[in-house]
Amino acid sequence: MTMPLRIENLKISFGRGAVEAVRDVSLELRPGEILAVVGESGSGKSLTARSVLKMFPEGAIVDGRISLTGQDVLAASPAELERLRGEAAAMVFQEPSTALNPVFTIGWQIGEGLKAHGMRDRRERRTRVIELLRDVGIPDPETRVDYYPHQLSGGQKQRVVIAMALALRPAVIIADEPTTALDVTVQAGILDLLRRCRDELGSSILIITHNLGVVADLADRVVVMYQGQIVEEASSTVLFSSPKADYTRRLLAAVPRLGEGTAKEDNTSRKQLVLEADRLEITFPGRFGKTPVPAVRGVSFDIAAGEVLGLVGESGSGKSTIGRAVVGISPVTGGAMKLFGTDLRHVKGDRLRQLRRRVGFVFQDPASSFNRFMTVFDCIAEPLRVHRALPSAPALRSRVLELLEQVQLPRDMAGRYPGELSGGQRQRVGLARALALNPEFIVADEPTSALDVSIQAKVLELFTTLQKDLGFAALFISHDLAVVEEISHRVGVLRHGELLELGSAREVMSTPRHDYTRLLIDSVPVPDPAVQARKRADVHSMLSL
Amino acid sequence: MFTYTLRRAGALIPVLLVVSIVVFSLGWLAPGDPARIVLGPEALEADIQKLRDSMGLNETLWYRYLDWISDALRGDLGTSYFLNMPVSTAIGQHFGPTVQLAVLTIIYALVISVPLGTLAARWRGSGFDQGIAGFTLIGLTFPSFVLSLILVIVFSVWLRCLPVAGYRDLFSDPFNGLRYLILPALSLGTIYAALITRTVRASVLDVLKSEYVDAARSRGVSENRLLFAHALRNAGLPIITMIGLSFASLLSGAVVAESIFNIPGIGSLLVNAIERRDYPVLQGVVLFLTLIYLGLNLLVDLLYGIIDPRVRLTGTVAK
Repeated sequence: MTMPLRIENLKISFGRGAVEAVRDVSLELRPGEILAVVGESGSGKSLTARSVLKMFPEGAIVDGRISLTGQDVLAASPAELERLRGEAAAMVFQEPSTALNPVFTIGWQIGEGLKAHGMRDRRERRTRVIELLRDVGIPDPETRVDYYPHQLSGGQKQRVVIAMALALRPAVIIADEPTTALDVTVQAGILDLLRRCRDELGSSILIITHNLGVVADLADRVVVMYQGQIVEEASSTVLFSSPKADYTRRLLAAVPRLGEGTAKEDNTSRKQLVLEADRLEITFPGRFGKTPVPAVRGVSFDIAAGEVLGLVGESGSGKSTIGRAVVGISPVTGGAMKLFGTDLRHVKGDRLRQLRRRVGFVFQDPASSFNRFMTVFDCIAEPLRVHRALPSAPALRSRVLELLEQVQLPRDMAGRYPGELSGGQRQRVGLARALALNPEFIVADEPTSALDVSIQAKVLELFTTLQKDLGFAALFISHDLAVVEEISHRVGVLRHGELLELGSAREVMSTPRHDYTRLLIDSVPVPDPAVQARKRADVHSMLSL
Repeated sequence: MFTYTLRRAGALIPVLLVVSIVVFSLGWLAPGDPARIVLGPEALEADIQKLRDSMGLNETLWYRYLDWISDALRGDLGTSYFLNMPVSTAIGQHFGPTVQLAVLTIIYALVISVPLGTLAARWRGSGFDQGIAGFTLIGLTFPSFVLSLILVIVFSVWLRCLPVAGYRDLFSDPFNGLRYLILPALSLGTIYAALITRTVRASVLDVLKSEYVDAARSRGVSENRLLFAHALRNAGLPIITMIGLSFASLLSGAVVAESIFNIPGIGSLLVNAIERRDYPVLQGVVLFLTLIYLGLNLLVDLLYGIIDPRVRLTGTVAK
């Protein structure tokens, strides 16, 4: 029988063969199967997936054979290709807000694919679109069909993208990191939907992901890619219980796992407080004629010297807003925020500068938080220069080199530019910059969420070591419960600007008091298929309650 | 959409107010006494003083400003010192030719630039694209008065098919009116054609790189449809801005082209007013042009709202 998809000896290179991005990849997608392709950035997994629809970046040199429902994709004519796209295989993209055209209604966009494949009648198209929207769980599809993408939430947008993929009942669905841009509680719903596509419509699904929890939740079989090559191929249960390839083992070890007993007891003394938030309110000024909505409402917590407090929440929970308020980037509009005992609402000018000097900030995206025209040396030296912390140029130089050593980067990095560094190296530089003035307190806003798991593991390890050695207190903001559990003494859970729960990491993770915390913990897919299947059943019963 | 329109229009009022003050004081700050210029170098000091009185030049500045602006709000911009007619009538007479020239010029520029820019983006890096790059470079850098003269030599002197200069009203005599406007429109429009071509190419390229175009491609949408349905509409905002700016600057008078081709447009009215210290005309024309400029900006803002639902529908986000 013909396989829905068979890739044979696929090679993709750039720059006249100088860079080999995909090297001799062969794989097969069986009917009704969910196959996961796992790898870190640069492993060639997305390129492989996109090649199924012959969508290559400019300048790619491709060799090999891709047969999609028996047809040779690479040899197909433009007209054949247009027919294959959407009809034989369809794609679900990573970021639903960029995969939808902002100026057309979602109904128009789903209908466009139907029209391109021969459904001429307008009314017939509309009926079919509404039916599709209902299938993917969009409430009130008759109205929503005329909505523009920006009127829908992130999860709904991804459902619309999936509806588009399903429009022509393709034999193969290619999902490229379909849940990476979404919150965990939303992710669970999208994974369920993909599973239903297979169970009810019989589609074969090729899912590309870096998240091993998602793999355990969804996949029947797994292909692990590393530097353009397949290093291991196995059924999902076998892969997680007895990984063969060295790389797979390392990857599995690097994944932070929830509830593995790493959670710390809270045993810091509360004598000396670094930060106190007392019924904190943060409201951004509303646009003309709109009532402003508070981003943070009545949040109270404190951080003792040498303590790491983890703040967890989904997008829009206000966690970053709180972090930015500490350094005065977001406005405190109510309650009190005391930094080193001084209320931030009542300091200005020099006093504020003196306070800021004692706080370091690590930003989320190391790629965009550096001036790309400054060398690494200048980036790290900037806070020292701004606060005139050191008397001479040689002293400055030796301090920067010392910092580089502390974050385990070679000295010769100092002369490079941020663009020449890898993501992990850049975040180390970010850490060095935050540490430059020997701060007593560090705010880290999602410092590892832009990094691959294996790199994240190393950065987290570095952070923990430095925290122990230097003894700074930290506010660690993250959406990833497992990361927070690993690194913090105490954990706070935020939702819609309110602090639902605050306690020692062990308490919150093992015996959560609030339902939302429990839902959050249970929504995180575990990288173990058997455990994950049980967990999924739990979440379902919780949601149906 | 209604409140959006209202908000946009309301924002123009302070701008107009500031401009009116600046315009009014400009006439006062500029050297030269209008009464002296009207009466000529031989005039007696007493006559000059008498004329200054009757022209209101001896009142305080604030009084004169309030007087002028309240009249202006009623549509009365005063009387020209030299033309012996109300300023509004003078503007009315000179604005017609300018509008006709501007519309013709912008149509010519658009007909050339939108298809060329779009296709250059479609075949990026090809010989066609490079040709377009060359054309736009020449179009942008070539002085338009030189181009005017070359066009006159070719079409009027050698080929004898178009008039050298002059103006006929387009509405009373469409055929000849058009013949008179062709050369000025060609010489003026080439710069704008080049400018808009570059904008179109850049914005279409930008959109073609976005993921929703890839997403539509993965649904089997054809390349031509991607280009004309998806890319062109999304690229519309910067293109419309550029068109609006070009049109506004055309309406505020193409002084050089008007003098070369001897067209009695708003540009020549303005230049003459400056030379003769004809303050009422100067002030009236600048205020009028500001209004036109702001009006066009408002139109562009409203077009944004039509093209981009995010502008139109803010605040109705579903939960």
